[in-house]
Amino acid sequence: MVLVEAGSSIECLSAEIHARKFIPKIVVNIPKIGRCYKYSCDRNSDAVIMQELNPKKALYNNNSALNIKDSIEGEGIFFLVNTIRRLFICVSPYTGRHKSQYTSTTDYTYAEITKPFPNLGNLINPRNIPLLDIKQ
Amino acid sequence: MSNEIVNIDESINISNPSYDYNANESGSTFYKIKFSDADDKNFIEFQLPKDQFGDIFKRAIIDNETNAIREIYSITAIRNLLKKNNFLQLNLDLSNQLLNEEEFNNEIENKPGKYVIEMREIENPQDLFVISDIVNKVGQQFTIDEVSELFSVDTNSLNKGLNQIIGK
Repeated sequence: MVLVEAGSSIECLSAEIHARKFIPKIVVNIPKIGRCYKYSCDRNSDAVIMQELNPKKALYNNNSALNIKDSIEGEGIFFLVNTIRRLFICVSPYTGRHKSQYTSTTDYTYAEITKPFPNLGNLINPRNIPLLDIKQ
Repeated sequence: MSNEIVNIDESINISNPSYDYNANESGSTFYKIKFSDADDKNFIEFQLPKDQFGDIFKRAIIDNETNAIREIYSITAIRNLLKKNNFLQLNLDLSNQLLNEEEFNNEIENKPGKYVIEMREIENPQDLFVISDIVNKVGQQFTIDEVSELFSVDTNSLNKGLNQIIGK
């Protein structure tokens, strides 16, 4: 399942993330999870789950996608990795014409779309996002 | 009757925040506001419509609360910006090979107050109004994660708070 709406998120134990530009931000301490290094990705970003959580239960956002190969795609995303070690970010071929930066994580990862693709305003039948659930 | 101050002694410490509201028991529309260190001679007296009295002072109390919350979030934002500054400096040292990877990790582990932003949940939707007010005054567009790291609020509770306000 590919999620494209703003606020859609994934949670996993390992993820592969592509973007044109990675910006390391800061270390944040989140209750229940611990210290996480935060990165933001800009321009044509995507994150794919490579390893599911064990037990398969969301820790940060109850509406996150958790299944293997679930992904989020957007103009801008941010992600948190539960380690303070800096990730190794490398350049890889992505499309026929363009290269992109790439990284993969091996710790708990949370990724969320902050800026969706600008052309998505024309979607005929957008998915009703259950993200904003006040009863939690 | 005019609403002007009719009697005030300059020796009163106006900056003293504690004061008493005394309603006139005779049922007239006069209310006396008396400073805590005032004696019988120095007090401020003015006239207010009785039905508006509650609203005016409730609004004043809400404004006071909002200002207190605004101050807390403004100070949090400055502290977090300082933390980001420290963290960037640490990253720069690592890039210039003044530190190795292990020293970098130890510095963060040992001094979390200097480098690590503590995230927490929003307890009150009023906080969200204050945050949006501050962001509007800054006059720049922020993404949800930038607001989250600036004000130490996790994105999940920002989304929930927004939903409470929108009423979905």
